[in-house]
Amino acid sequence: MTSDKEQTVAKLLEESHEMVLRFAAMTGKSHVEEISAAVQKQTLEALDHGLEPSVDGFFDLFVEDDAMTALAEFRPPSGEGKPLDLDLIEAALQKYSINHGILWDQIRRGLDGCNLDRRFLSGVVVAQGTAPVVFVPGHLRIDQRTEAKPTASDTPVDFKQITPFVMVKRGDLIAMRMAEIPGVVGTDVKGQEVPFPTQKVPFWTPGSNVVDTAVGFEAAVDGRLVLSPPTFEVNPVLELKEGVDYRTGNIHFKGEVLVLGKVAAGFAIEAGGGLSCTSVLDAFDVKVGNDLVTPGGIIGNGPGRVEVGGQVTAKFLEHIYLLAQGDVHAAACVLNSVVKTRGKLELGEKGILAGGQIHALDGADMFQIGTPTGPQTELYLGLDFLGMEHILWIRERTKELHAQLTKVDSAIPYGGHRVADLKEAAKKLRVEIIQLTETAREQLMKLGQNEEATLTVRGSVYPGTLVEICHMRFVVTQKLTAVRFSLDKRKGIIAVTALGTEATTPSASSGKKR
Amino acid sequence: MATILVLDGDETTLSCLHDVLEAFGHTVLPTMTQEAAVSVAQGLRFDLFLVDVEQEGIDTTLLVKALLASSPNAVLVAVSNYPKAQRTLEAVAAGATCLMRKPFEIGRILHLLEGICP
Repeated sequence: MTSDKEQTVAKLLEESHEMVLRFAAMTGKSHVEEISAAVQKQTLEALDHGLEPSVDGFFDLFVEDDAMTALAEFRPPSGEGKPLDLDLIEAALQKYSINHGILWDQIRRGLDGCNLDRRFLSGVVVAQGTAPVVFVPGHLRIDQRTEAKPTASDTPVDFKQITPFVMVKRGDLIAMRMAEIPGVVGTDVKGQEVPFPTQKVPFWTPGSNVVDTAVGFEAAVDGRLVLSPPTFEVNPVLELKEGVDYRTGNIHFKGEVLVLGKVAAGFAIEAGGGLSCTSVLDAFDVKVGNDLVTPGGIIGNGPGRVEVGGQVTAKFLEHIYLLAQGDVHAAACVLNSVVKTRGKLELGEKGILAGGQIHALDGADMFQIGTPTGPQTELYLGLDFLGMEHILWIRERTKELHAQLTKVDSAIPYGGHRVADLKEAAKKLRVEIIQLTETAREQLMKLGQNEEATLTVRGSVYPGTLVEICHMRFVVTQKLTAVRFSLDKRKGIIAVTALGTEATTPSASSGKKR
Repeated sequence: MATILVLDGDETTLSCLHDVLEAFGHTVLPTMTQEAAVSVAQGLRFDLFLVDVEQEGIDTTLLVKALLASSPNAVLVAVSNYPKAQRTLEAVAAGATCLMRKPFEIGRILHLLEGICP
């Protein structure tokens, strides 16, 4: 064997021996932890190496379908990767042809967050297009306000007050002219023009009873706003085909009202114009600006009253409290009603007046008053009821003041230290009484009076009937037939004249009212 | 629409009732005496009788029974201003359905007729 070979063999043996010695030593218990730590170190190093590979910062873009918005994703670098830089972003924007509405501030904030804070950001708006301005054509806008008043949540709702009708007054603006708003084109993030849309607007054309003004269309008359697209108009007549009830609510209408059905009990009707009813008017609370006409009758309902600005024409009146500025015509009868008119009460060919009170400035004409066993009827003619009501009101107030004054005067002797106050109160009461008395005197002087008012009865007047003309009173004590009652100013009595002959019947009951 | 017989001694009252009720489509037969009322009632079927029970010379019990016998389903209204008067009480005892004040109450009559002819 050569010396080289011997050296190689010797080295090999030596290494083998060392290896055996090293491994034999490490199999001992004292080296287990050392081996575990080595393994852990190797494992973690391998894991770290696998989790955070070196990746450069990343930027991605997304452009929405309408091209009005571009959204970006900023991904931070990892490991030994390069940070994201602006050039990369500019390149991406260029790649997507984004050249309008670029939000550089947003991009810089994204870069800082990504590179410095190593934050992943997504959905960042980096470009925003310019939206177009909608084109609104010139049009008319209808004012569709309703009469229903809002109520507090804890207030009970009176459904009678809710009405589906929109009432307007003459001169009310019902359609406002809205000026055209021109459209402006927009630009998307790619610099492309975005056409402006056109807003859909209602198309209205004016109908009847509306007038053109600078601001729009106004109601030419009081009435109900009727919308029948494309036409709007004002109907001066409110036609209630099914009457008045919860479907219509109380009626408050500025124009004419036509009721074709029944008026349910308890519902109010207020008509600025006239009121016509084809059926019986069950009157609870009725106010009519002009004439009230019904081929049926008017039946009062509880404490309600009927106020009419014009004439009243009906088949009959029963149990109503009626105040009319014009004449009252009842074809058949007036029963147990209070009728006050500044005109004349006229009943039909065989018309009966039975019960109640009549106040008529211009007199009355009828066939019969009362019945053989009917209720007492009173007629007060030749005086304006409005003035009389005022005078009577003053009289009642004066009585109250007098009663109070008596109490105060009688307390003065026992008033002690309040005597001065009592005297002052008594003085004020006296002044008030004097003022009221003076007002009553003035009212009396101005009181509408018609000394020519007469009462004509073509049939019978039954006993118990009271007739008063301009404060002169006559009580019928026996049945009279075909007579006229009038004021004989010279004698200061009510003259009763037989119709046809015009002969005067002596009237023992006639005399000045006490 | 209803068929109504009215008995009242006052011609104007009869005329007025006739005028008002016929305006609402009802048929009204006015009579002024008990005999006439009973005679008319025999030949027709009535829905409503309006009878003035204060009228002189009528036998209330006999009249009410005769009228209701001729039209058993009819409503008979006794018209009187004295609800406690002998004749009124007799009418109620004989079958009168309700009382009405004189000369008449149109609202109540129309309400009754709504029930009879809905």
